[in-house]
Amino acid sequence: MMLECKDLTKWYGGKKAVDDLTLYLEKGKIYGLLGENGSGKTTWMKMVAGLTKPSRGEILYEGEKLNYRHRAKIAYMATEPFFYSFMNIGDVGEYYEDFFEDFDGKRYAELIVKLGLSREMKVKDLSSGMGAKLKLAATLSRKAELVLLDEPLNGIDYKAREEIINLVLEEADENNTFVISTHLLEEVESFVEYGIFIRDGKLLEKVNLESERMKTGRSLADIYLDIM
Amino acid sequence: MDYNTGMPIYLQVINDLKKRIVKGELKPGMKMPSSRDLAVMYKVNQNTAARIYREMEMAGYCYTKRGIGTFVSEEDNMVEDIKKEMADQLLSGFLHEMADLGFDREEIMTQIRNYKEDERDDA
Amino acid sequence: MGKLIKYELKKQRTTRMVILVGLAAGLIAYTAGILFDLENVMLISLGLIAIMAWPVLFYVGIESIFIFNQDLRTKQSYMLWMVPKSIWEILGAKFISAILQILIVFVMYAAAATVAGFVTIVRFSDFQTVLESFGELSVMFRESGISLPDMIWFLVYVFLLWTIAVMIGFLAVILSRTVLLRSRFAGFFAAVLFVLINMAVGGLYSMMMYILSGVVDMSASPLWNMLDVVFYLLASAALFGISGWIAQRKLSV
Repeated sequence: MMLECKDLTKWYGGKKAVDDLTLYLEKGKIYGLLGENGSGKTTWMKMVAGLTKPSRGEILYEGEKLNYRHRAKIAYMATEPFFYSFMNIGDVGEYYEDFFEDFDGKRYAELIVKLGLSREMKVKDLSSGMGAKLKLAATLSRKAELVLLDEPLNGIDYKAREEIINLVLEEADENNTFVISTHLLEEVESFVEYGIFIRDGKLLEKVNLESERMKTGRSLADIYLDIM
Repeated sequence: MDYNTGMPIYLQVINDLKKRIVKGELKPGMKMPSSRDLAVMYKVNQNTAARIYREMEMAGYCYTKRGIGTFVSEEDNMVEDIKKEMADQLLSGFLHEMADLGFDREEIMTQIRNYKEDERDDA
Repeated sequence: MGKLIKYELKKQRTTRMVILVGLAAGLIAYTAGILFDLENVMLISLGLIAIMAWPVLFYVGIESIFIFNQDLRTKQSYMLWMVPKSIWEILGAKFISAILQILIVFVMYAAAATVAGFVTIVRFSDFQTVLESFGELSVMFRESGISLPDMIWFLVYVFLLWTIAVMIGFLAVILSRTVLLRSRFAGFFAAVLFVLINMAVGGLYSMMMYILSGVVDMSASPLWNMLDVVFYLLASAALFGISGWIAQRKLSV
């Protein structure tokens, strides 16, 4: 098992953002993390990425208690812009190069061009769409074992969405695991293997979509409406 | 490709590939896309892509040379068989639906004939 | 850790630029004053450089605490926490960058002083007077009873006191952000905590001195100095340890 989350709970003030969540992820799969805004998807991702500390419960990465060394193997893309404001796009690549051994500078350079960005652009001058593309370019230029993408398609135009999905599909193989949170169900329907449904910080169900289509003929949207 | 999201994706991709074999877009002996390329082409994950080739291989539509890739089967009659099989499938579905609407064989034949004539009128 | 330091230094770049521009402007004004015999301009620019040195020194000294607070206030903290570096390296890099920043600013001031001195000498081409005033200065220094060891002790003290202040600052920021996260009040709360922790450390120091003075007679001053050094080092290390421990277990960025 690549990732084990056992009885995870995270309190924010008096509210449980994640509530007694137990979830196992395998290597070589693409998971869709699905739920309303504020259902705990981001909090869960941030806990796995090591940014947020669980109030209770534990996270094991390949059987080992999650620690800072695992960040070399886990790539997390947050929803918000987070690059240092003094950086330009070239600097962002240099930063990743400096800290992540799995970062592929050549690929980053290609992606930048493909997504219509250029190295000289200042991070703080980017539009939200361009900022989203930059985050993806940096994150997907890593050959990480576990890739956590929080709302990667938000604020991205249709053409770039296709680009980005193609990038994920090229990268995702038997050696890595992708978790993609989104509420654009139609966009991910055909390639997500498991839907992880979360509401109020609780795991409702983990569904193998292909077997569900086989057994009950329900689409992802059908299942979503039934469960939520 | 537009999917019917209530049906297993891998079956729909297999169907599409079979159609392309019938249409001659994929010729016997031709190298098929790698799993990676297939995944991107059809917007599926690589596990599904691998499953598609596994199933197609079992059905005899293609074969894999280790380390080289997957190729369209060169067996005699394969294309004809696929064509017939797919036609059978379509017909069976069509006939079932029509039977549900209360048409018998004869009436269905008439319907088909009339439909053709309608088309000619249009043209 | 070198790479972490590299980016911490980049965060402090604006401050360095501001100081550099300020110094350059002051120097240009001073040079102009000397060249054109504008005594007022000369004195005012020199005075400003000297007076501004104190707030500059003060700000540079605690800048790393502000930057740390700002990292945590914005999502830019992800940049630190998403890389495979331990909390000890992250905090250590911040501390070392703070030292480096102070050294850099010191070098800038020293360079400015040298340039000003050079300009003065060239203008008046009166090496004798300049040398004499240097001589007078060193005599004054000697007569004031300040010895070299005293100076070194003084620098050591300043460094230790500054270290402990920075460590208290880091701890205050971590505690505040652990409890209040991105709240608007987290910065203010950190300032309050800074004062409180300072008082606690001060209290600890008095208590230790009180207890020790009852136990051993140490009227000889070197011993007291050593004791101070040991106390400040231990306290700094303890604060550093507590900061890292809390950040590792509880801080959500």
